[in-house]
Amino acid sequence: MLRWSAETTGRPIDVGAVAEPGIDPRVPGGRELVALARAAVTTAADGRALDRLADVLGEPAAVDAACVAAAFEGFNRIVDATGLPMTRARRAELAEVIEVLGLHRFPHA
Amino acid sequence: MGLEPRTDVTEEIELTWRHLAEPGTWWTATERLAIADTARSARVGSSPPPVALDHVAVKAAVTIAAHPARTTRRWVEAIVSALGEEPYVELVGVVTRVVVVDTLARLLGLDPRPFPAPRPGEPSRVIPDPRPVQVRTWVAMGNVLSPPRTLSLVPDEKRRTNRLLQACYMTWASMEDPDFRRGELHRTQIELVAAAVSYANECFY
Repeated sequence: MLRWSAETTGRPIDVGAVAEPGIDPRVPGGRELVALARAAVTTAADGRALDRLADVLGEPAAVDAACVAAAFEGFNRIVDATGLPMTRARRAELAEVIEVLGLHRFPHA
Repeated sequence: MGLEPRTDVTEEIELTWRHLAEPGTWWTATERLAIADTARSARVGSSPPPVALDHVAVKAAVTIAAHPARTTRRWVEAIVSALGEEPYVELVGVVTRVVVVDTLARLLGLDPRPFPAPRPGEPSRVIPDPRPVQVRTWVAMGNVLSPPRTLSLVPDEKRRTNRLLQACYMTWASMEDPDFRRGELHRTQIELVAAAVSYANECFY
């Protein structure tokens, strides 16, 4: 979805930023968006991630990003708890991303 | 910071909390809240609270809330053989919604929302007709394999969980739009967040 959206709408993206904090995702507020996503998954309260994102994109966008992060905390659970598989076609389509991010190391790969 | 999300999100959170405290399809309201409380504690690394809940249900709620990538087909089959497939699916929905609401509160700098008091009543025990078939997945969800269908065995839980997820992310119809915007946030930025969360959770899908 990330690469599809970026390529279809002509926006640059470096998907490696998803795995590597040192990489610039090349989207506005990209580093701060990734930091907020990471804060969603860790259990330590870190309001600074939202503040830093709000400084770059504004408070409404930061809150919307927090909602997306929370939603994916949920999506990840319903997918992993029910064994939803990635189809062979989709896996082939995402082969490069899987390689770049090393996703084949993940437990459900 | 302490900011409020959009109205549609806050409305869905209100509905979720009300629904958690109602008898479900396979669990009583007291049991649903016990599952929710267990998931909340596990998510922040606390010991499970003293709840009146089958130990297998506690184990399932803890794992799904705190270590979702550790699930395996064998693990799910063992849980399902003890709880039943439909009760397991409802448990997944309850845990999912509590994790969503608690994560959002934490990111926004808010205290965890107190759980409401359970409402009396018995579970409806409604089985969908026709019952979804099981194809390649660990629980039955029908022939169409996609996240919105995962909880198909318990239609009420599926509908309410999907409503919350759509309010926080986007509607299923909007997912077709690569140029979708949520306020100032473009689809590419939205998907960057989605991908980074999924990566951090080691979620392959």
